[in-house]
Amino acid sequence: MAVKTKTKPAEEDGVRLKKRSNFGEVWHRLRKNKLSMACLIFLTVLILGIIFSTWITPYDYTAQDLMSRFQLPSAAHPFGTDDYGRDLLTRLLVGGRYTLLIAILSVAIGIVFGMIIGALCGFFGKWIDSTLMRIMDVIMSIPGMMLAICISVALGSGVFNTALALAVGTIPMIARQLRSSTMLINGQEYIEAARSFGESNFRIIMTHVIPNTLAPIIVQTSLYIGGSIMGIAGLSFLGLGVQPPTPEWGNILNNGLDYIYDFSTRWNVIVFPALVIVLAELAFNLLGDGLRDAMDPRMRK
Amino acid sequence: MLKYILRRLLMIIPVLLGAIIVVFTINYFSTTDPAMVKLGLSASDPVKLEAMRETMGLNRPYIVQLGEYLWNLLHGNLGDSYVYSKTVWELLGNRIPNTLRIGLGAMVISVCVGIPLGLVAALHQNSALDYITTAIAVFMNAMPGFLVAVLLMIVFGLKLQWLPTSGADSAKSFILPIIAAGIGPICQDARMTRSSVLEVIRQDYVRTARAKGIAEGKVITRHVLKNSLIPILTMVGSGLGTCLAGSILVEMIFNIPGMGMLINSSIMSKDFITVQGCVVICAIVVALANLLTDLAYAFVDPRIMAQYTGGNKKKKKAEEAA
Amino acid sequence: MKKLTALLLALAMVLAMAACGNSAPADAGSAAPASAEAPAADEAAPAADEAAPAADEAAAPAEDEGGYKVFTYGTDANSTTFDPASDLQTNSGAFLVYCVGETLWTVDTEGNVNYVLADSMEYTEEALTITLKEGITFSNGDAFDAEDVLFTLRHAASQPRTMSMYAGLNLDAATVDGSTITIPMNYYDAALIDLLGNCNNMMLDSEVCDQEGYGYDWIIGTGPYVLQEWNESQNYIITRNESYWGEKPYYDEFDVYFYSEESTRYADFQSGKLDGVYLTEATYINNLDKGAVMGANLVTAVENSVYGFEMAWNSDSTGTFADINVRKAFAHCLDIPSMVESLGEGVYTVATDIVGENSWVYENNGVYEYDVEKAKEYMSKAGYSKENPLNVAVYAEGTAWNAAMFEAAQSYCSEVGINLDLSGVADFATILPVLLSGQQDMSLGQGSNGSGLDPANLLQQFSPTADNILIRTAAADFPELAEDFTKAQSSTDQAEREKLYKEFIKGIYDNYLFVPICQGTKNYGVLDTHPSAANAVNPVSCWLDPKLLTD
Repeated sequence: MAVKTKTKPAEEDGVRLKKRSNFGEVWHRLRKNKLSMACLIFLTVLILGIIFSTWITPYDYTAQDLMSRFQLPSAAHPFGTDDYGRDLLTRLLVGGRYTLLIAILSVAIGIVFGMIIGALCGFFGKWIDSTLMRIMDVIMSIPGMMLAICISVALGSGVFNTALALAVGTIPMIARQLRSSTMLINGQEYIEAARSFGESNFRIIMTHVIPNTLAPIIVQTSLYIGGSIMGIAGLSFLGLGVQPPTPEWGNILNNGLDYIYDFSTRWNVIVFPALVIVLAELAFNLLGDGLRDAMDPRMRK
Repeated sequence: MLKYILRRLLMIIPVLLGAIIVVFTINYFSTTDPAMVKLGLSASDPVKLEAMRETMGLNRPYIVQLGEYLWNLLHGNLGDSYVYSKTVWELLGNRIPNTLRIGLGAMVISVCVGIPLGLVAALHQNSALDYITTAIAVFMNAMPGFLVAVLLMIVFGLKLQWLPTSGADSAKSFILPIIAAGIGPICQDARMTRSSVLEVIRQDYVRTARAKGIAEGKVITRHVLKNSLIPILTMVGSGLGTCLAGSILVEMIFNIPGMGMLINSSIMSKDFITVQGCVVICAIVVALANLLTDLAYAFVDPRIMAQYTGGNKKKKKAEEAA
Repeated sequence: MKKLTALLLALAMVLAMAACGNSAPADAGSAAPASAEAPAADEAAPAADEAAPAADEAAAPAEDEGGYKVFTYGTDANSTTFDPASDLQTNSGAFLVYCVGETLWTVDTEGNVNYVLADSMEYTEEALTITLKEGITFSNGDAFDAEDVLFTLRHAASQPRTMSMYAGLNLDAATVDGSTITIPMNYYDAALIDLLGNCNNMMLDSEVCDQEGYGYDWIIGTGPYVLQEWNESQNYIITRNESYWGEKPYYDEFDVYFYSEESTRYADFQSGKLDGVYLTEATYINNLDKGAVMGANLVTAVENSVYGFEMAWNSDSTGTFADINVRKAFAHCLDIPSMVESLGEGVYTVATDIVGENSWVYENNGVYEYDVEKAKEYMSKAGYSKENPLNVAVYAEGTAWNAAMFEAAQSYCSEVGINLDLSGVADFATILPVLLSGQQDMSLGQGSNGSGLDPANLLQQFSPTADNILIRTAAADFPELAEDFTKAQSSTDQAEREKLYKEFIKGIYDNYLFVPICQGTKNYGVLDTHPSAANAVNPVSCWLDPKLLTD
């Protein structure tokens, strides 16, 4: 849900200014792609489930029942219980809240900064462009995961810190992409027209440049969120990111993996978290691919 | 060509310098006091703590400390570890090869397996082969790296007993870690290759070539592959960073004494300067890999080289045209 | 051009492959000189290699071949220092100190002193006189003399964590005469004698350690083994000390590997790569106990100390737990038996006293009764309720077991209006600043193993910092309790000491100063081919003792 509310208005903005039919066409093409639609539906269900988890499961995600640890799936606990006797389904739904919050937050931070930097570079060119782009090169030269580790070690754990740690690595990619599309737009007549009306550079960037370059980035949001989920899981594995009492998909799975030698009797603490991560990741990636294909009709036969 | 290589080499320096400054700055502003880490429980004595801060030079301004770090780095000195009585370089020395073996190994298999797979899938688009390859690639790409590593260890190390479960004693013990670190990049390479080949295959010149009756094999190698090489190369170059980062998680699971294990234990003990050292080394390796990629670009696409060396020629041409 | 491209790519691939392929010869090359240092190691290395894959056949181990016996041992993460006085935080460090070093004497579970490096020890006229055995040398050839003893004691007494325990010794006034050392001591401090028998106090070579800039980069002792090779977070190798003064130990060499991930350690033991393994998590211990690993046994030793929740408040009787009602509420809101039995899975047992069952001051004081209503009542007396909860900042080392205890406690506490903030359950390095400034409201204490069995030592060690919360809080608000403790420590009459210690413990119990949780076990997996392992765990420290291991 959160994803959709983020993407829709922005896309519509971009579309309203230029070619309204474009968005409709993309949506039309996307609808024909069954796989992407399945992913979209899955994600919608997942996100709704995460938001309304309190209505779906009667349990509190911290409520422990030490007498019923490691229960296998049953009617009372559809996914069974974990090592503290907590309902695993509840843990995964609430964990999803944190995971997706961090993922979306990190992508949002990445997009905002990437957008500003990219637009500045593409619009002004010259020394602003070369300075900012060199800085982006510098950040890109450090492997994303390493940078995330470094930042989360320095900042400490927590939702915002983890999001920030993952965001920094995505800024250059987004900035580069926006820079090149801004450069293309920069020469267009409507920008010249706006200039001749005496509109300020800030206003031109905000009302013309950014809306018109945003669409491809928005499409990639889905892919970036998928990448972020992986990043969070990796950080969790290293003991960074969100700390254990707070559920998060990565640390639920990592915790479950401790019991891999008891797989025959405790498989639920490994299989379900793994399944949730893999499915969510798949859905985000496939939806991203579908959106990209829909944007670029050449890719379709 | 030589001139181009030299230019690219020179261009690495500011990027690396910037990367080092970024990493140093992140650690400089961290909330943990290195003097406290170094002293441990002895830090309860404020006099000792202050003295340690003084000897470690932590009271000096940021710019001085940064300058010293860079100056030392120039001499191959990455600083002294906060918790071990060793320099960071001594700690890193015999670990770098292990990490590089896994990182490079993963990159090599991602190229050797991922690109052919992607190519095959693209050439047989919409066939069963294409669907299966793509499905596997998409699915494996969605698995968290540490999960893949644990599963590989359990299945091939313990159940089947084909390969060692841990350690860095023999070449054999690197097989599972390399696969575990390489699986993500293989899938990415395969997907990327597929899409970039598909894009080229629809171009007019490919159709023309086919229409001219050139053998299909030749069309593929001469026209399709060559023209889709640039995005693939970009991906391979940037893939090394992913592979190195993947190595961190994999090393912990396979208990391989590499940089990943060191980073992990340094995170635990707040030995930030060691983490910093590891990241700097990775940045250097990645920068070199990017250099190689760029050189490869220049081979593949002469236009790129022309941008750097051909400035004069262009002008001349323009003059001639005029 | 195309051919060139292909050639270049092929070349790059070959180079990269070569870099990976090189690993084997490079490793072999680096291993060769190292093993050459140990005599006959060359024969042993292949023998050990062959033994590993042959494990499932339960066939003959290395001994049948070269006669050079190697034991491979998988332990926890790496120690960060070679300083024995602070090196016992990890199993790997304790094992090393055991092998390489020796103490003046050891004290067994009954409190008897068995001399090792000391010939005799005597307490007369407010001074402790220790006479050393003659002719003992360190593994580097330096003679062991009374100077070394003084140096070791001074070093131990300068450690912040243990400093207070050495307060009874006036080291500055110690006199040294060849192989005799006399240290002024106000009273016969049984706890200190106990402490000196503990492997933190392995004798150090003052001639080496005294050197300027020597940061305990290496470890040299008088013990039966010599450290040959150390690779951080990888492994260390110790071989038999050929010039050892005592009885030669059975194994020629121990190869000790560090594993930060216990699952990998267990996997390697299962695959036959390791002869012995140190286990902490219930899942592996129970699997091994059920016979999941063919040809391997579980060796268990019960720990002498107890885990418990420590509550802290300020010396002026302010702070979170200054009110006894809050302490009572906390103690009664926890269902400790079900916490320990379910989460402990048999590895931990419910504690019924502040000291372990092996101690001679142990008395069954029972467990605080689990009664939510009573706890709620106490909370309302203290002015808190579920709607108006009390916030408690917990700072404790984030081991798996500590975290589990606090997570379980957090759930129980929330029922009665105690809100445990667990963000401080983290690595020791992370929480160090807080522990140093004493800002924590609650911590998880454990009398550390290896500190000897004297009650004073078991009680002193509860806090992770030198400033012991247990003693400190008792001294601030219960001076009569603190007096009991001091008296007990300085008394020479065994019956009186027992009485006073028990009184002290009773006082702690009655005033809800400490909530004991459980007693743990130390667990090791050892292959069947080493049948003696069942008796090879030192009963005082609970560590695997290399000197007791034979085939």
